[in-house]
Amino acid sequence: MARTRSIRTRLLLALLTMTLLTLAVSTLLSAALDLRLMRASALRDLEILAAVVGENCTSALVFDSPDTAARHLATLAAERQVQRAELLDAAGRRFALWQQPAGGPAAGPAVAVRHELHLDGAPLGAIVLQARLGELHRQVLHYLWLSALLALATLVVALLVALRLQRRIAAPLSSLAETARQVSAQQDLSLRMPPHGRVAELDDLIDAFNSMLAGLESREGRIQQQAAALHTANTKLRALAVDLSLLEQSEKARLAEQLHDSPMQKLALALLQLENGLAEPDAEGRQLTDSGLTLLREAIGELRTLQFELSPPVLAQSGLPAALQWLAKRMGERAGLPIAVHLPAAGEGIDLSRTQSVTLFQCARELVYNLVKHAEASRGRIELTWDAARVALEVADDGVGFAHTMDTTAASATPHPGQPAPVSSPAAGGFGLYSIRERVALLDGRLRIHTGPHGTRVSIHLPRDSGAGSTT
Amino acid sequence: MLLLALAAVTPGARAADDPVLGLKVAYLYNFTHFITWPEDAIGSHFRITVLGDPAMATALQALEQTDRQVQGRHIRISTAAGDAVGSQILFIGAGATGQLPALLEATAARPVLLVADTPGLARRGVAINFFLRRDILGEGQRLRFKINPDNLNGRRLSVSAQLYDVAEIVR
Ligand SMILES: Nc1ncnc2c1ncn2[C@@H]1O[C@H](COP(=O)(O)OP(=O)(O)O)[C@@H](O)[C@H]1O
Ligand SMILES: [Mg+2]
Repeated sequence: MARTRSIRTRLLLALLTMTLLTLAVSTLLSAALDLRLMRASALRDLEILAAVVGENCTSALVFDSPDTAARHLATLAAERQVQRAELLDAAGRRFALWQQPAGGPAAGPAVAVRHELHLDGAPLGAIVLQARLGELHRQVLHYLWLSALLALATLVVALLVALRLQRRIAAPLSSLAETARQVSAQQDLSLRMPPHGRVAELDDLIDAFNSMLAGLESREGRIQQQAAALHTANTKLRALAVDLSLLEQSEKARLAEQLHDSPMQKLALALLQLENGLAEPDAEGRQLTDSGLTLLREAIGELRTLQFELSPPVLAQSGLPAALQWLAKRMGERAGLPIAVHLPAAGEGIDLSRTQSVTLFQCARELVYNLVKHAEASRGRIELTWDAARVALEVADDGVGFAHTMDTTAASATPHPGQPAPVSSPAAGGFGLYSIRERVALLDGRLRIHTGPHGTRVSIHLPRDSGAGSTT
Repeated sequence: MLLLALAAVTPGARAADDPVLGLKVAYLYNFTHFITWPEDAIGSHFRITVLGDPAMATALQALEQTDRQVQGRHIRISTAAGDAVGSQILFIGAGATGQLPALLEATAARPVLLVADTPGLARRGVAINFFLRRDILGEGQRLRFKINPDNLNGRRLSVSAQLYDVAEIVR
C-alpha cells in the first residue's frame, strides 16, 4: 500500500497540506467572523438609518402629511443597499412607501429592520427598511481571491522550504548510503562518516553507522587473529606428526642396533659353534657345543633384558612402584651409580589407569637414561608420590646440569643459539624430553625442569582422573 | 383614519362630533412637541387662551383633565382676554379676529404663539393659521396650516424644522 516516495516529495506534501489546511481554516474562520461582524454592523447602520429617517417623519405622522413622509423616505435613494422603505401609522397601516428605482444592487442577503416611532410615550407608528447586503457579497469574493493568492504564495514558500529541508536531511542520508556502498565495494571497514552536526537524529544514525563499522572492524581483526592462531596450531600439529614418526624411526633404529650389536652376533656365533661342535663328535666338538649353548643362553638373557626395557612385565604384573624399583636397580647396576627409589609408605595402594602407568614408566626410563648419559652424576633418585587429585614423578641427580651439557653439545654439534629451551623442539638435542613433554601434555599433565650446576630435577604431574582409558 | 388615532389624544364628546375640531385640538396640542418656550416665560401652568371660539375652548378643556404636560407643567385653558398676554398659546377664533390688532400689540415681542383658523391672518401677524385643503384624491378635506416665520421673530420661540416640513410657509 505505502508507496515509496522521496523525502522531498513527502516534505513538500506535508508542508503543503499543513499550510493549506491552516490557511483554509484561518481564512474560513476569519471570513465567518468578519462576515458576521460586517453583517451586524450593516444591520446597525440600517437601524440607525431607520431611526433617523423615522424620527424625521414624526411631524409628518403627527400632522397627517404623507407627502412630507414620502419626501423623507425618498432621501434613502442615496443609500444604495436600501431596497424599500415603508412608514406605518400607529394602527399598522401603510402611511407612506418608497422603493429603490430599478438598477440598484440586487445582490447579497436580504435583511429588514423595523424602527418603532413614539411621540410623548405613545406609539406613533413604525418605519420598516428592507435592504440587500451586497457589500457582504463583494467581501466574500474578496476573501476568495485573497485566499487563492495566499495559497499560491504558500505553495512557493513550501516548495522552497521543502527543498532546503531536503538538502539538510536527504543529502546526508544519500551520503550515508554512498559510504555504505564504498565500504562493501572496497571491503574497507576503516571508512567513517563525518557527523552532520545539524539534525540530532541524523547524527545518531551516523554515530550508529560508524560504531557498527568499528564493531565489524574489530570483529574482523579478531577473526584474522584466530585464523592465524589456527594456522599456527595446524603447522605445529603437522610438525608434531613428523617428529613422532622421526621418534619412532630413531627408536626402531636403536632397537635394531642393540639387536645387531649383541644378541644377533651371539646367536650367529652360537649357530656356528653348534654346527661345528655337532659335526665333530669328539672332546673338541663337545667344547664347541658347550660354548655355543652358553652363547645361546646369553643371547636369550639379553633378548629378555631388551624385552623388559621395551615393556617390562613387572609393570603389568606388579604395578608402577615395582617397575620403577626394577628400573632403578637395573640402570644403577649397569651405570655403576646408586639410584634410590622413594615411595610412599607400603600399604597405600595406587590405582592408575594403564595409560598413566605406561606413560609414567616410559618417562621415568627416558629421564634415567638422560641421567646416566648426560648428568655425570654420583647418584640419582626416583620419587613417586600421589594424593587423591594427582600423581607426581620426580627424577633427580647431583650432576652438572643442562647448561654445561648443552654448551658442550652446542659447541660441538648444531649451532643452536637458544640457551634455555631444551625441550621446545627436538632440534635442540634428542627426542627424549620433547616426547616426554608431548606425552604428558596429552594426559593434561605438567612437566617441570629445575636444572643448575649442582644437579637436575625433573618432575611430572598428572591428574588422577585423566587418561580415561583401560585401568590396570 | 389618522383622525381616529388623534381623537384618542383629545378625548371629548364635542371633538367626536366635529372631526375638524378634534383635529384642530390635537394639532394645537401637538405643536408643543415641536416648539420650545423659554423656561422663564412659563408660570406654574402651561396656559392656552382661546378667544372667539367657545367650542374649541370646550374641546381643549378636556386636556386639563389628562395627565398631559408641556415642558413639565400641566395645561390650563382660559377664555379671558386678559389672560392673553400671560399665556403660551393664544388661539384667536373667528369671533375674535376683530381684536387682532389689540392682541398683537399686547403680545408684541412676548413668547406667545398666536394661532388662528381664519384665512388671511397669517399675513396679518398670526404665526400659525389652520386651513382646509381638498385631498388629492378628491375625497374629503385635510386640515393643514400655514406658518409665517416673520411673525415668530422676536418672540424667543424655538420652532423645530420638522414643523416647517409639514406646513405651508407664507410671508
Ligand atoms: N640429567 C641431565 N643432566 C644434564 N643434562 C641433561 C640431563 N638430561 C638431559 N640433559 C640435556 O638435555 C639434552 C636433551 O635431552 P634429550 O631430549 O633426552 O635428548 P638426548 O638424550 O637424546 O640427547 C641432552 O642432550 C642433555 O644435553
Ligand atoms: Mg635422552
